[in-house]
Amino acid sequence: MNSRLEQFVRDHREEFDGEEPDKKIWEKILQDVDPGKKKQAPLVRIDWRRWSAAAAVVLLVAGAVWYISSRAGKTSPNIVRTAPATVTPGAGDKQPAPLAQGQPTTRDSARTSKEPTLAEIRPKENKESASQATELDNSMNEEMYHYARLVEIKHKQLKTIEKDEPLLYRQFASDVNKLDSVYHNLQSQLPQNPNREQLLEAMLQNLQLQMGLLNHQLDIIKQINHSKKTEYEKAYKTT
Amino acid sequence: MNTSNAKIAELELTEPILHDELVERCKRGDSRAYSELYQKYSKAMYNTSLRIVNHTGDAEDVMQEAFTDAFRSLEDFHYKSTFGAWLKRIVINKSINQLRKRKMDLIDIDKTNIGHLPDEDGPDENEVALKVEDIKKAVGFLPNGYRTVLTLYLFEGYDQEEIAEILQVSHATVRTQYMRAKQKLLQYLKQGVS
Repeated sequence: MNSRLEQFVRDHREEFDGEEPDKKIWEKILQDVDPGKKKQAPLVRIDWRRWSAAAAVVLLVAGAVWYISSRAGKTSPNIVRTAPATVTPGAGDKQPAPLAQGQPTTRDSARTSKEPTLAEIRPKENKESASQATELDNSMNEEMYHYARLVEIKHKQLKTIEKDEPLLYRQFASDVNKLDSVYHNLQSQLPQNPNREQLLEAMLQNLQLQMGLLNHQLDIIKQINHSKKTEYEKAYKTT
Repeated sequence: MNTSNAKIAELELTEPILHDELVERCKRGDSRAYSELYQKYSKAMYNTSLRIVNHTGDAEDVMQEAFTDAFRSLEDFHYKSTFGAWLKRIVINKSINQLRKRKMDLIDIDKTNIGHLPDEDGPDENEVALKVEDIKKAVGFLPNGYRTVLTLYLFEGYDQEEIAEILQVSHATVRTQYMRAKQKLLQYLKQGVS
């Protein structure tokens, strides 16, 4: 096969790509794909270093929150309530996270999630009446109870991988435990801390972080299972 | 610049394919990365499709479908090839399907155009003046089947085995189709394309 034409095309290859696509195409693709929705798109290969970096960021944030709130004053280690999300498997269904003394317990998560956010209920004045303070405590405790329950549930889900992926489980559990210990620390300061509101907010944030972390971990497990499955299918097909 | 490009091309053949940061960002749901990825590949892909389907509207449809499919199935992309090669393959498959949808059209052109042109003794390649614009036009005049084989070989750099696989025909068919397509192209070029 002679090659003058082939050589010419090779030498001028880029000039042959001179046509411009209509700009509207991208808008249509954007509508179809909606990358915003793909935020939870599964990663097929998980970069462990990247994941550890993310965990480190989470811990740093938690640490900062703890530090800020701890500056408000040092306190005696008088524990108000025990941890809602201990890793011990002993925490059974019937015994959810214990609440602060005298709090009404509610399992209605729909109701608790509709609680006004902290920003909305926070009084502008620093010195507030006693009734306002209790009200705030109540709603925050409810919210915290809600999160504590969720964290507990997620923890149980995570536990199911302990058999299959003991190493991964240990790593995951240690990440969560670090956050949990910060939570305990905050909790121990609660009784004596003059800035109760800030501390409660920090505790709440901590629980939210724990939940976020657990969600990520569960996502990763899902992805691992998914890629295992596809790999298996591929191997099965090719052999 | 050209030499460095050539180096990169060489590397791609020998080195294992590195993870594409842009693709990884897309996988993580970074919407800006989608836009960047589109900007990077859209022009080349559009021209590839246009050469096969020979119709701007169809090429635009192919582009939209191909990019949408590619973005949605990013998790199925495992770096067995470069992202560009993977995407190009999607574009080409969709372009060929687009052509097959218009199959009636394809047969008509084939019959009317091949009939009165001798396949064997075309013009001598060395006698024909080669210009980019003329070649582009002449490719557009080729019947669909010839044009597909010719563009895949000449412009997209697939070898004949690969083309045979893409089109689901024998290697021999691809070889003869390509030779005929090329003869016809040279003939158009010699006659002068208007």
